[in-house]
Order: sequence, then C-alpha cells, then structure tokens
Amino acid sequence: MLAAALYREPGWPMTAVAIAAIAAAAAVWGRRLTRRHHERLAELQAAKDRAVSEQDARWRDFHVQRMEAVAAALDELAGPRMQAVAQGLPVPPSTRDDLEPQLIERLDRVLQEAERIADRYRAEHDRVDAVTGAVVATGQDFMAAALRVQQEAAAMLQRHSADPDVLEVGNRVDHAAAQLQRRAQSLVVLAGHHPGQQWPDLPLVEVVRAAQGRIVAFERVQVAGDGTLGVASKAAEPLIHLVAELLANATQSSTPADPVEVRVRPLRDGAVIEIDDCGLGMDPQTLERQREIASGRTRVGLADLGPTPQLGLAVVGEYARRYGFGVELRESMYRGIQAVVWVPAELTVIVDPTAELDDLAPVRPAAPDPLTGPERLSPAPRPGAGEGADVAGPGSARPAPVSPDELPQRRSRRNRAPSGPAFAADPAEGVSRETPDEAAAWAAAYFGAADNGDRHSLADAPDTDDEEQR
Amino acid sequence: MSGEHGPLGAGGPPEEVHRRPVRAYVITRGRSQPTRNTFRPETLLIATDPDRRLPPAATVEQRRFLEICRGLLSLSEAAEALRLPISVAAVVASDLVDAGHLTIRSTPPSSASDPTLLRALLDGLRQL
Repeated sequence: MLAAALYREPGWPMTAVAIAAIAAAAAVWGRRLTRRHHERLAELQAAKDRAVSEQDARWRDFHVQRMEAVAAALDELAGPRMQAVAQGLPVPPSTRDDLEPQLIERLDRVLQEAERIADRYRAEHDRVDAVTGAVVATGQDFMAAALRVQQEAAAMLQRHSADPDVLEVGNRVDHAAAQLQRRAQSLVVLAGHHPGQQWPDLPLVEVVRAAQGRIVAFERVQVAGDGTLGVASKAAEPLIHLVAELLANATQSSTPADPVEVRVRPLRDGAVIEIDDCGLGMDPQTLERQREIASGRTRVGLADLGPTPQLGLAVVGEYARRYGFGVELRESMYRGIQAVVWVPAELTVIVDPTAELDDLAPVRPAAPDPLTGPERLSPAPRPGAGEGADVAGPGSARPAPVSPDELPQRRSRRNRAPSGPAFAADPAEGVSRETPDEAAAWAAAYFGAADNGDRHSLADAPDTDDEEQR
Repeated sequence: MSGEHGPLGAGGPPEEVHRRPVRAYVITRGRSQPTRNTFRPETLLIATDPDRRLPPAATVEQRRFLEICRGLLSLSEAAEALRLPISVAAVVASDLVDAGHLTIRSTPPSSASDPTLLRALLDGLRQL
C-alpha cells in the first residue's frame, strides 16, 4: 500500500531510494544491535558459570575440609582416646577445635558408651580371673592335702613295716588320696597351670603303673612292653596324669570283669602307649567328638565344663597340646576303644629298667614356690611343637634309638584309617583281625604320616560345645 | 603353694618318707597278705636258679628282688635294699616263690626259740 501510494507521487524514485537506504541502514544497525546483545548475554552467562563453579569449588573445599576434620576427630577417637578407654585410663578431651560442639558431644557420647562396655567387660574378666585363681588355689590345696595324706600313710607303713593289716589300711588310704589328688590336679591343669609334681626320667612302663595307682579300678590294668623306653623328666608327671585319665575312661567304659590291656612300644620317632578296653565302644559321632577333645584339637577349658564336669579327656587334650603328645582314639581290636598315646622322640629317653629305685625319688617336692607361683606354660603349643630343639631339656638322654629289628613297618594311612573297613569288622572275629604288631605298625604309620603335616593343620579346629565323656 | 599354709595342708613337716611314682598297692596288685603265711622279717630267701629268666611281664620290683637275692638274704634285708615296707616285700616275694623263681631257706634255729638258752637267760635274770 505504501509502495502503491509512493508510486502515485511525483518524484517517487528519489523517495524510494531514500527509503531503501534507510531500510538498509536500519537492517545493518539492527543486526549489529542483535550481535552485541548476544555477546552481552554470553558474557553474563560466562560470569554466572564462573560464579557457580567458584561456589562449587568453595563448597567442595569446605566439604573436604570438614571431612578431614571429622576423619581426624575419628582417628583421635579410635586411637588415643579409645586406647585410654581400653586401658581404663582417663579419656583425654578432643584436641580438635574445628568441629561443631554437637559433633564433639556425639563423639564423647560414643566414648562414654565404650567406657561403660569396657568397665563391664573388665569386671567380668576380673571375675573369671578370680574364679580361675580360686579354682587353682583350691585345687593346689587339695593336692597338697592328698600328698600329705599319702606321706602319712607311707610313714605309717614304714613304722609298722611288717604288719599286713597296716598295709591293708595304708593302701586304702593311699588309694583314696590318689583319687583326690588326680581330680584336684585336673582342675589345676585345666586352669592353665603346671601339674606340680616332678619326677626324674621314668620308664614308660613305670609311667603306666604310676597312672594305674591313680584310678579306682587299678587291679584291672595289665601292662606289658619295653622296659628300657622312658620319658624325660619334664614330661613324666604330665604323661602319668594323661595316661591315668585314659585308664580311668577305659575302666569306666568296660565291665568290672574286663581287663584293660596296656602296651608300650618303640617307634622310630618316639614311643607309643596303647590302651585297650573291652567295652562296648561308642557310636561314631561320640567317638569323633571325643577324638577331637583327647587329641587337643578341640580345647575344653574350665568355663566349658558345665554343671557335671567331665575333666578326663579335657585334661588329656590339654597335655597333648602343651607337650606335643599325640593322642588318638579308635575302635579297639578287642571290640572296645583303643587309646594310642604317641610320645615324641624329643621326650623319649633310654632308661635302665632295673635301675636303683632310689633313682626314682622325686627331683623336687610337689609344692611349687608360693612366691614365684606355679609355672604357667605358654598356652597351647600345637601338637608337634615338641619337635623344637628347646624341648629336650638338659639331662634328658638322646631320643631313643630303637633296635632295628623291632622297627615296625610304616603303612599307608589310607589302608589303616581308624574308621576304615578293617575296624568295622564283625565283632565275633574282631579280636583276630589284627595282631599287636600290626597295631604297632598302624600307630607308626598313623603318627608318622600325621607328623608330616596333617596333625598340624588339624590343630586349629574350631571349638565345639560342651562335651561329655563316655 | 598356698596349701602349705592353708588349713588343709596345716601341720608340721611330714615325716621324711621315700616317695615313688608307683604306689604300694599297685606293686602288690591290691593285696596286703602274701600268698603264704610263712613270711617273717627273718625269713631267708635265695634265687632258685640265677640263670632262670623272669617272664617279660615281670615288674621292676620282681626283677630287683631276684637280683639282690642271688645271695642268701632275709626278707627284712631285701625290703630295706628295695626301700619297700616288709609287708610289701613279702607279697612280692611270695609271688616269686609261687612262680618258682625264689626259694625259702629254712630259717636258722633262732636263738630266741632255743629252750636251753631261754632257761639260762631266765636263770640269769633271776639271779640279778
């Protein structure tokens, strides 16, 4: 319309040119204006981005700083402050001054809770220590009393040396005191203390006879074997006590008419004592549980004993762990259970079986020094720990060299596994299935093979619940 | 050990006695009487045959007993040497006699049982 109106005017071309020029100028200006506007927008955007990222960075820094401060406070909490709680010392205040009071207060509350728990634990621990101490002291009191009764009985026998009636009474008193002594000693040993009595190097046959004297049904025990094989002094009393507990088990689990056969045999790397009862044996699960305890693989402490304590096998296992004796239970060739005690070569000595009996006098009286207290053995050396050079004490003879013609043949453990088919034989023919020599060979193979590592790996078996003896 | 001073272990030091790991009742296998009643402290004993070996199951006491009885020895002397009460030694000896390893020699005429000497002693006392 505008163009049509201009067209009708005279001189319109001039006007049109001017308009066109103006329009062009306006377009150029407009474009420039737009560009500048865009640039300005970009600048603003960039500034905004810078501000945001700077703020982000500041936040990040702030957070890192906070985290470091909290981490440092936690380190302090877990370190020196918690240690003070553990040791029962006054807890030092936090040295951090860059934390909010609320946080500090919460950390302090954590420490207070820890202190409460630590106090409770300490009280419980003290109580257990006190109970253990009381058990040990009482046990040692009873052992001393039993020893005194035995000494009085022996003195009475000496004064009325030729009188059989005095011998009769003296024997009964002595025997009863020996039971008391053994039970008291079991408690002392399970509480982690030394058995107390000391003997010189003893023939293993005499060890068994000494053990025989400590059980009720001692008449049923029959011993046979190599009289020159002995145990070193330091392990004599532990071995007597260990064998006594196995004999007690063997006599209790068979009828009063049955003998309990004990044999002492040499091995290339030590000696074995085999104890056979003619009892009814036990079911595989019970046997397995008892084997774990007797071998020392499962530890049964005082606290695990329960209201009707069965100390026997727990004591056996305790000695096995401390002195490196190997103890295995398996089905006996006489139908009952056979206990095999392996005495490692380091604890074995050669003795003169007819040595002067004077030589059998104890090295030291049974009572440990009250000032130094009973020797506390390092806890639970693993079976086989006795192989260390330090075990053979001074005065103990070299490991027993065994006459070569008596060397039992080692056999594959696979073929002689205790639960193997050879032992699941018909009871009627069970007795004849295996000769004593074969049994010795089995023991040699078992402990020999076990010594190569198997027993070591078994030593860390987890504890189980309370166990009952058969 | 606390027991030394505690009520149970109280008392003076016990009489000095020989202590051995094997109890007397194990040595006698629970018996207090010898298998025969002929054993007195002065009973003389000697090994039947020094070359005769004891069975492998023989005890240390039996071996020692036979060893010291290679020569004639009274029961009380043997008991002293073995540091055993005579009553215990009598049980050990009776087993050895029963098994034929040990022989009882007739006790020499005891001066205490000689009537002539006793009468002389009595006369002497009366004259005091």
